Amino acid sequence: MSKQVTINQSFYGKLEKLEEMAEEVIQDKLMDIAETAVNLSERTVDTGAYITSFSFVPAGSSAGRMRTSNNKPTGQSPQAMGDEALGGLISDIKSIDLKATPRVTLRNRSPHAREVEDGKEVPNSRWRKSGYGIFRSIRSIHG
Amino acid sequence: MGNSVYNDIRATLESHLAGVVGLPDIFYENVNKDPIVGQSFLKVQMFPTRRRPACRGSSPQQRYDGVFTVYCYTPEGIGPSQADDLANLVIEAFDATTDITHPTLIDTIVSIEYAEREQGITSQPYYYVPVNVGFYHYAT
Repeated sequence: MSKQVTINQSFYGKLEKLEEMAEEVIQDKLMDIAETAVNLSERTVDTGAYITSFSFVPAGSSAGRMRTSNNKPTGQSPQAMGDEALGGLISDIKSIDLKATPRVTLRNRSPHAREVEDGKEVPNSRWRKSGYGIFRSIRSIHG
Repeated sequence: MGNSVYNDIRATLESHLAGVVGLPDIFYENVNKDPIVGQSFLKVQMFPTRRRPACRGSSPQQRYDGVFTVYCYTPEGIGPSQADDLANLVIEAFDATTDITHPTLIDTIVSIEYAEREQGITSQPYYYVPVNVGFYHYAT
């Protein structure tokens, strides 16, 4: 004797709705991470090259914004640079197909990103720079 | 002077690190002391991240979160193993799910959430490995 299950067409509609809800949750989380990254980085602003070099990319991609501080005016407004950085990250979030992308990476490709993160030791000199610990702080806050 | 919780957290973490056998000189924040070129050393930095009520209701305890980073510096050009060894000692001293206490600050218990290292980095004339220790602490 055969057995069968009939699936109502509305099931697929409900599944699609669940996928949309999941996508919104992920977008909200990425937005939180973006705001944290920008808020923490505003204190680093001089030329704005670092803060405006943040980007969200699909994991495995080598892409991402890269701004150098060479030949750029210093003393830029942290808020203005922060707004520009956040705008870029929001645009990244909107452009990534979250259904097709298993993982998303937050990246900063500015040439001096490591120095901003960890600081710098210069031997035999009073000049040393403390790191800002941006990514390790993001990791602590968002897991 | 105000609330000294952050001072106590820092003192607890730093004193615990200073008690680990086999570590070189430790350079603390905002201390003008020059490392000797050609010698290994550690540099520490505390990154407080959050201070939030631990529960709802009036007068809740606060949960303090943060990262205690130990940079393990060695001379450049001698290979990675010396820096790796230092990083291993630090990671073992701050094992996840353990509690760190201070010899005299009896009310301060700092809990370790994780201890993980990053890649080694060359920054002339040094090579260093950052170790990040995630911590949290509850206080009234």
